[in-house]
Amino acid sequence: MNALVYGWAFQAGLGVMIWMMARLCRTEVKNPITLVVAGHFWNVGVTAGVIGILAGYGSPMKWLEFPSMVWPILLVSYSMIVVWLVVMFAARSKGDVFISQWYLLAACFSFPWLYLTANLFLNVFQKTGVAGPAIASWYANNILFLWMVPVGLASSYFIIPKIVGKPIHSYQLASFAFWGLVAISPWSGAQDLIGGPLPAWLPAVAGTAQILLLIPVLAIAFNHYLTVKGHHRLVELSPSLRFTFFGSIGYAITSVCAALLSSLTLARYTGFSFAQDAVALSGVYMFFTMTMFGAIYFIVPRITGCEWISGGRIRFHFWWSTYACIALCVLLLAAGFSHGAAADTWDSDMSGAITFSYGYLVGLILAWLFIVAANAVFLHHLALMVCKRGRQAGAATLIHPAAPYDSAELVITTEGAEA
Amino acid sequence: MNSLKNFVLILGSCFVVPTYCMVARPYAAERNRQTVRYVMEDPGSGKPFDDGALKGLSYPSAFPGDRKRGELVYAREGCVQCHTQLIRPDYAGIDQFKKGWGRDQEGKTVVPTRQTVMWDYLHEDFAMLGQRRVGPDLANAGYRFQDKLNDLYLYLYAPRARKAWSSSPGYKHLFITRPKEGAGSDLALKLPPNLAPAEGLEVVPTSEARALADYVLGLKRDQPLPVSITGAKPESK
Repeated sequence: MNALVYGWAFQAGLGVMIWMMARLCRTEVKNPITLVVAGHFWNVGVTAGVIGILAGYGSPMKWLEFPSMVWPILLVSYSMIVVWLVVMFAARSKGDVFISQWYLLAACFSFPWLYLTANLFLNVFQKTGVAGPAIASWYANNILFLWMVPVGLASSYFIIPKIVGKPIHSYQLASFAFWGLVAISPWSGAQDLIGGPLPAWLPAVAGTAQILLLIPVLAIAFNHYLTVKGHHRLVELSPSLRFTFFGSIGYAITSVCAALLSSLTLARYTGFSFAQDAVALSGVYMFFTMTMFGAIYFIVPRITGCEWISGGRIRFHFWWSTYACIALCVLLLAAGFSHGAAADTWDSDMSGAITFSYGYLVGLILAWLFIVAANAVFLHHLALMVCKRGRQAGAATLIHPAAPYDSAELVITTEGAEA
Repeated sequence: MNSLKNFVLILGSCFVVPTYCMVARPYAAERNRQTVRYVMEDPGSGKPFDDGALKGLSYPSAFPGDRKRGELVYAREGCVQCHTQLIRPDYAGIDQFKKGWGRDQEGKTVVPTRQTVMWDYLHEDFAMLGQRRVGPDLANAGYRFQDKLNDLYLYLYAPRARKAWSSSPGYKHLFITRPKEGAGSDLALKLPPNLAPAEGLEVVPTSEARALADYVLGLKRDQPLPVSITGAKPESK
């Protein structure tokens, strides 16, 4: 999980943040050498962290399992990168501020804040007692809802209007959802520990916040839907839009699952079960990763100057990933509930819980194999693109060969290449 | 809202208040938490008082054995990924009545296992509440392995030798196989035939495994709560 979060999500997220911030501020990237060097330091930190865990120097803190010497490296290299994004924003040429830029800025500030706070309390001040797990849960939940969600939404608020070719349906709704998310999310997190030896108000407030987070989700989903309305054919054709659209659905699913698991009635069965992994993984994969793939399909042709080689490979990547992340979510939820229900009988040992969830967990491995296959194809495709071996043709690659009546919309899809 | 300064100010205030309430306050409460002495007062005064047998003791009592070292091994080996150490109250689960999760190991739990409270983790730097319950809860594991040290080591060495359905990984790196000296070590594992080492060799726990076993044997989080915490009415005698 740590490798997935710090080894994939953050690199992908930072790449998209840098490109998108430069694009939206209509400037050149400032100080690219610092960015590259800091990026390498980040990678070194993550590698050291993963090796540290395997060598037996891990910590018991959720999503902070890296050995404690790693966190300053990650914090400093992240800050070195985002400082230049903020400078880019401050030095932008005058003009409208897009909603994506707000989200990007929020993500710039949220990670250092969360990471510094969590590590100060857990690794520097120490002696946290039972507050320790609550702080770790707060951190893990907010990395999902206060870092990945803003980066993912920045990307979808950028790509959806760009490809559909019209502005976001409602700017007020978007700004309402942004402030809702930013104001409510930092309260959530400790609901993982319902029934734990904590002051009862702590999981209660956190659970309430998690449920209230459905309001911005609703606003965002409604806004995205109305923006795409009338152009659903494009979702079928454009790779970036299709991945982004699926990612937005993933965001809604993740939030609904997280809200459900925060309710006391269900938490009785799902607390400390695999169901909690369903939320984390669908957040990281179904929402964030799919949205990032959408952004990559949009950005890479504009950087390398050539188009994706084959629609068939993109189709393969999309369907295998989609199938796998739906399977991940459903299997983990099912495993969680059967596990929780089996554990809820007084006289059985854990054998029931383990054997009931066993089949689902085997299915889970299959789902991961699907993801490996999809990403192997994607990696090969991407490598060819980076080597500038892509198609040099003018028109963007579509998932299906376009039918003649699509030609009017095709103009819109390629429009981004010139901007 | 187009100015960066305003944006940062509002964003900052959105972050600071919840961080204070959800992180700093609970942390400060833990730092200030003290052990509590059991109070022995005259029943005549009508004030609540604790059981006479607890006279002079305080709660929670110090953890026996090589605790700190064992706790560190427990943390580093990632035990929290699959084992919790908490008994939830009855509104949040059946933990209090679960067979073998409290003091009694056989039969129905007649006296519910006490739910764990904040004080139970007072001596720990980071409470090992755990993330998942892939394995059984260990809040009171000390009772389960009382006088069964070999069982505990066997669980660590080869979990499926004890329970065929177990999904726990084995921790063979916490043990060494070495030539027997004389009659062999007292600590040598009594292994089933399929796992037993070759003739003349024995499998013994390393000092890390011994510290971990000490830690697990000391896990007994059901010390009676002082009335000053529970606020219970005095029992009529």
